[in-house]
Amino acid sequence: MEYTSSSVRDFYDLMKPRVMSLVIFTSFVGLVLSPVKIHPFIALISILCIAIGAGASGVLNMWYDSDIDRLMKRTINRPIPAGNINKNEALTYGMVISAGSVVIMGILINWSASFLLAFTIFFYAVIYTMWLKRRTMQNIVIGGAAGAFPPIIGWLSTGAPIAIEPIILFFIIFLWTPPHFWALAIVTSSDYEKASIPMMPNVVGNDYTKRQIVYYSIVMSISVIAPYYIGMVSILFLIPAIILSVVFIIISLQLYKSSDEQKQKKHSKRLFLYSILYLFLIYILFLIDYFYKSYLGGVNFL
Amino acid sequence: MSNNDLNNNKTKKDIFLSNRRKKSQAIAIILFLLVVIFFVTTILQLISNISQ
Repeated sequence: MEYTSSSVRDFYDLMKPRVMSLVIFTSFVGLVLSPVKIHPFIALISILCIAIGAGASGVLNMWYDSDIDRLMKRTINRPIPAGNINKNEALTYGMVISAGSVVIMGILINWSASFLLAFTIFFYAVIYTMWLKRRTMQNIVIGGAAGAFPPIIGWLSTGAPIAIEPIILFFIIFLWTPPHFWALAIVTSSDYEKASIPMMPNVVGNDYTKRQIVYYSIVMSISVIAPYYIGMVSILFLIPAIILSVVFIIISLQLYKSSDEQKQKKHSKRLFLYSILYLFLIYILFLIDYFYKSYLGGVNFL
Repeated sequence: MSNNDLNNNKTKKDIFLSNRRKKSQAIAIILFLLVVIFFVTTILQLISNISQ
C-alpha cells in the first residue's frame, strides 16, 4: 500500500500564509476606515472569511502551477512539488474552502462583500493564474488587481456603500504590485526562464524593466499622496508617506542606474524588501491617522 | 520482503495514521468553530435587530 504523508501543516502552507497575512492586514484597514461601524466579532468573521478566500485562491494557484513550481528553486519545496499533497487533494481543498468562505461571508456578513470575494478568487485563480501568468509579461500588472481587492472587501463587509476611499486603497496596492514583483523577477529571472514564464526581465530585458519600475514607483507615490487632497487623511499621514515614497523612488533609481549584474541583484533585493515594508507602513499610517482623528480630535497642524 | 522494508513500511504507515488523525482533529475543530461562529453571529444580529 502507498502512503502519502500530507499533514495539517501542508494544507496550511498550501494557503500561502505570508500572502494571507498581508490580505488580513489590508482588509482590516479597509474595514476600520469604513464610516459604518460593526460589532468586533462580526468584523473578525469578515476578516477570517477574506483570509480564507485569499488562502483558497493560493491553493488553486499552487494546484494549477504545480508543474512549473517543480522547475523553480523558489517554489520547489511547496507541498505539491515536494510530494506531500497530491494535485486532486489540493484541488478539492481549494474548491471547498473557496465556496465555504464565499457562502459563509454571504450568509453572516453581506452578499456584496461575498460577491467581491468570489470575484477576487476567480480573478486570481482563473484570470491571473490560468490565463495571464504564462501568456503576457503584463501578467502581474493586471493580476495585481486580485491582491488589491481585500481593502474594498473589508470596507463593503461593514455594509458601507462603495466610495472613493476604498478605491484609493485599491490603487495603492495595484500600483505597488508591479515594482514589487519586477524587483523579485530581476533576482529570480533564471528561475522564471527555466519555467518559461514571460516575466518582464526575461522578455524585454532588465533595462526596460528597471525603467518601468521607476515609472510605477512615481505613479504609485502620487496615488499615496492623493488621499490627502480628497480630505481622507491629515498631514500626519502625508509627511511620513512622502518620505517613504521618496525613499522608494530613490531605491528604484539606484536600481535603474546599476549596470553590472551583481549590483542589479543587490538593488533589486533591496527594493523588494523595502516595498514590503513600505506597503505595511503606508497602511499603518492610514490607521494612525484614523485613530488620531477619531480619538484625539484631529488637531490641525496647519 | 526484507526486515528493513517491513520496518520502513511500518514507519510510513505510522506517520500516515498519525497525520490522518491530526487532519481529522483539525476538521472537527473547524466544524465546531463554524457552529460557534454561526450561533454567536445570529445572536448578535438578533440583539442588533431588537435594539433597532
